[in-house]
Amino acid sequence: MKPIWPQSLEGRVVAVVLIATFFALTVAMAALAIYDARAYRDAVTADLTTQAEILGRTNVPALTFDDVQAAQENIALMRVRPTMNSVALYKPDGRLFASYGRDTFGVMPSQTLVDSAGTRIDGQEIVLVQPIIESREKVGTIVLRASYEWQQRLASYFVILITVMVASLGIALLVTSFLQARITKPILSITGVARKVVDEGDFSLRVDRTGTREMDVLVDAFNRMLIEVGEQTEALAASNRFLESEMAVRRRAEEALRAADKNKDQFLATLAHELRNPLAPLLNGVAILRLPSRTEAESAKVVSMMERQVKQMVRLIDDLLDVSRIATNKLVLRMAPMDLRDAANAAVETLAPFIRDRRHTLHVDVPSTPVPIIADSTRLAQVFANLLHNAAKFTEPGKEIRLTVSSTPEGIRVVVKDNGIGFEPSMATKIFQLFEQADQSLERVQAGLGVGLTLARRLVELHGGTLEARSEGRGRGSEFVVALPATNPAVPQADTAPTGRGNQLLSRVLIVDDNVDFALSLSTLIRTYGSEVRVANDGMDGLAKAKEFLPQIAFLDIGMPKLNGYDLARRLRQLPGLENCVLVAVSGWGQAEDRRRAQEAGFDHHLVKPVERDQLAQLLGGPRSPA
Amino acid sequence: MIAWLLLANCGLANAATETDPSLERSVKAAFLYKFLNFASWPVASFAEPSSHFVIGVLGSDAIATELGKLAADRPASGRPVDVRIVKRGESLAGLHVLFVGRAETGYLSSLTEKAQQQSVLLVSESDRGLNLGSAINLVVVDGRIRFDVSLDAAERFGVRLSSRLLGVARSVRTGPE
Repeated sequence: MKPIWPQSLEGRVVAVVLIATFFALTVAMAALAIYDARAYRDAVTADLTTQAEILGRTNVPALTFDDVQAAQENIALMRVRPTMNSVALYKPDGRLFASYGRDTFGVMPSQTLVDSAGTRIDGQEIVLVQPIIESREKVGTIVLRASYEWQQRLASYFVILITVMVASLGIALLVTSFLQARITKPILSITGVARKVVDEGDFSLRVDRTGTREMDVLVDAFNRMLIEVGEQTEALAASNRFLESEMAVRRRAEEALRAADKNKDQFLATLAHELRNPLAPLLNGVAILRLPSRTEAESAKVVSMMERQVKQMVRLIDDLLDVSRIATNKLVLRMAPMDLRDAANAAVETLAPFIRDRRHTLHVDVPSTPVPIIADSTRLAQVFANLLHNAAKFTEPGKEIRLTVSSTPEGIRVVVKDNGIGFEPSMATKIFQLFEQADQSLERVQAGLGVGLTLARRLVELHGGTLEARSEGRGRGSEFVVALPATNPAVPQADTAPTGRGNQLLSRVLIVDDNVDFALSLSTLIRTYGSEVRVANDGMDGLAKAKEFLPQIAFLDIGMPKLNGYDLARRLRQLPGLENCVLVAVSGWGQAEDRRRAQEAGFDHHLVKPVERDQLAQLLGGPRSPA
Repeated sequence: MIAWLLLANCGLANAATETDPSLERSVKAAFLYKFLNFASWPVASFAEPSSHFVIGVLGSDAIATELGKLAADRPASGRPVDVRIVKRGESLAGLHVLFVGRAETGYLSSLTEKAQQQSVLLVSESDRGLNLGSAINLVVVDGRIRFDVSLDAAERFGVRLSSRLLGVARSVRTGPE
């Protein structure tokens, strides 16, 4: 049966209607045919009976008075009835009295005539035998034979049936085609939307309600399903997007990490190189100083060379520590009113030997009047020094470097300009990145850690200013512009500024450090100020010496065997006579956390190794050492 | 009864021979009897609804006998039928039909006036019967008994003849000859 049924819904609806119509019509026509066959038979019988009655009655006189001719004439009138095949009149005794039509009639026994009274169907004919009664007396019998065309009738019925069937099916097809939309349209619209949803994945589509109760239930259910699926798909897509962006972020972070890692590797290599560089001249210097044949002039020269190298290393490490502090937001500025020219001059002073070495000409252009500013003078000097050092380093020997300070109501500008190697304009911001160097090649003339500019910029920014680099291009010089606000916003004052105790020299000094060399060198240095110094090499020893010596100031190492610096400080603070002793923590650790712990333990100051002479002088109340 | 009927019908059916006078008589008797069914008389002709038909026979005792046999226990139009032999000069009172035999044909014309008064249908068997005043005249044609009708005469007698009867008459005369 499958191939016969149409595939489409419309086709099936039409087919169902047509089949139903076909069967209904067939049954109706069959019923009608049966009814008509009966009606036809009844009508024919009634008609025949009437004819027989009339003919019989008409022929009563003829039969009565034996007038054959009259009878013949009477029944011959039946020729106007084509369906009447033949008529016969019999006398009561069975003798044929008169006849008409194609049939030939013979004598019939009167008993047969009596018995066969009534109608019977004889093939294509209907035969009526009826007695003729006049005044309760039988005067004869009439026999009628008429066409009984039930087959033709059936045939014409069949033709009508076919015609009606075709017409009805045609009309049904037409009407159904028009009306079936009422049933199929909602289903088709759902189907259409479903197909669209599948094809386009658009879950915002909705099916309209149709007004049919069952279909509306289906439509509502379908729409609800769409909403649900749409929401879930949307949620899935959102979570996918989220994951994708997360992935992208992670990938970027990973790349950044990898880049940073690479920079760090580069930096470590450079750092090792830079730290190692001064060691060779230092070792050479030590070897020269050991020579018995050395002259005093030679010694002085070597010592100054060694000092330079050491200072270079100290500078390097200081920069590193500063960068570390900035990176962890632990750098604290000691803001104070000052003259910017001092910072500039200090930087020039610091860098003068290096610039001389590089045979550059330095032009310094500062206003003749003070340039007041609230800032950390040491840090500003560091900034300018870094910029000058950078300029001197990345310019071929014998060129010019210009430092210009200008003050306007809007702010203060400090420009360091050179005609050195310069950089591509695209590198203008990159060169400020940590560990970044314009020239990454191995053959580069000047090495460096790549922290100087980063540090400078961060320091300027901490002052509320900006530091920008400009260059016309490679080999065309560069220009670094520091812009500082005329009056900085109030910046919190530094908490622990090292302050001396007036001008009075602290004469009793205790040094506790398990690094014998450092302790020794420090004690030698302090003795130059004229103070009396005791040295202990561990915490317990230090405690014992302190009880006995009662120092006015104590330099305590933090990491020591037996008793660490913090605990020693607490014990010392409890000793009688040491309440006013100045406790100075000296360690390799300069982080804020270290300072905080030191303060908690009772330290007055916190110095980071190596200790500068200036700091010592300040703490001891002695004169500042010459730069 | 059935046997008798068959006999009567047989007689009628075989009425086609001049050579058999008895057959002719019996057919004529049957005709006389059957005319009762195709004619109607004035109400005054009957004393009461159940009054008998009376057929008078003049000049043919054989037919009277035949008719008597035929009409016994055989009413016509719901009335029993009596047969009376009528002699010349006898009153026609009470008669409804008077058959005048061939032998008395000459006397026919003298009967018409009385017949008109008494509403008696005169039936004859002579070729000149109608001319002599009878309403129905029986004749033999091709060996068969037929009859001619004079509507004029019947009207004068006050007897109305059925059109169905006229339909089988050999000829119907409507006006005076």
